[in-house]
Amino acid sequence: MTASPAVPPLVEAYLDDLDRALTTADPRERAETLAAVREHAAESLARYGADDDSARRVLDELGPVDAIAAAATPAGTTTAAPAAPTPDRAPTPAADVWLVVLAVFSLVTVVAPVAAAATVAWATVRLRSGAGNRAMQRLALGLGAVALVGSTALYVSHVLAG
Amino acid sequence: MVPTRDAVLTQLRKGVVEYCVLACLRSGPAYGLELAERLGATSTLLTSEGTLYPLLSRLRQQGWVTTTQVASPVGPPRRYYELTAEGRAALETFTATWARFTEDVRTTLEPR
Repeated sequence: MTASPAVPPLVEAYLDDLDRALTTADPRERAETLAAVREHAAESLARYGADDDSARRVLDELGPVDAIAAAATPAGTTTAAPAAPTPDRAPTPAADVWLVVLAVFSLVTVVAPVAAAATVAWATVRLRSGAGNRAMQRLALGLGAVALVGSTALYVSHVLAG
Repeated sequence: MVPTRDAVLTQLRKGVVEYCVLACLRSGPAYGLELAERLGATSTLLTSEGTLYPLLSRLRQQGWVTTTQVASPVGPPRRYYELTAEGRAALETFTATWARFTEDVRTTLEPR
C-alpha cells in the first residue's frame, strides 16, 4: 500500500469536500475515486508547481465535487458498471417456429404436397420480408422443397404405375 | 420543454464515455491524468476531469481494466490502468455496434 501523496491545503480542502459529496456513493467507488483524484492533483502539481495559482488551476480542471459525485454510483446499487454488450439476438418469432413445424410435417407426411407447397411459399415470403429468424426460414424452405419434390415424385410414380 | 445542450450531452454520454476510455487504453496502459488528456480537456466527453475517476473505478470493478502502481519520475507513484481481454472484447463489440448506430442516426438526421 502506498502512502497518500501530500497536497497543498487548498487541494486538501477540496478532497474533504469531495469525500463529503461522495457520502452516498458506493463505498469502494468512493475510496478509489478519492485516491485517484488525490493522485491526479499531486501529479498535476508536480508538473506545474504547488503554489496556490497552480492548485486553483488543477481544481478547476478537476471540476466541482458535486459533478464528480453525480458521476458516481449510489451505494447499494448492484450494477457497478455498464453491462457487457452482447451481439443482437432477437427472440425467434412464433411464425418461424410454426413454419419449421409445417416443413417437418410436410416432409414426414410426404404424401401432403399441399402442405409442402404452402411451406415453400410461406418460407419464401418470410425470407423476402427480412424479418424473423432467417436460419429457421432457410431450414423450412429446404425441408419444404424436399417434401414437395418427394411428394410430386410419389404422385407421378403412382400415376404411371396405375 | 426544449432541452439545453448540457442536458442533451449528459444523455448522450451515458453508455458511451466508458467505451471512449477503453479506446484510449487500446494502445497501452495509461495513468489518470494521461487518460484525461487523451480524452481531451476541451472535448464534450467529460463534464470535467474529475468525473473520469468514478467511471474508472466502475470499469475496474467490472473487470474491464486492471490497475498497477508504478513509480513516477516527477511526482508520487502513478496508478496505471490497463485494458483486460474482457475489456478489449467489450470495446470491439461496442465499436462494431456504434458504427452501424451512428450511420443510422446520421442518415435519419440528414435533411431530405
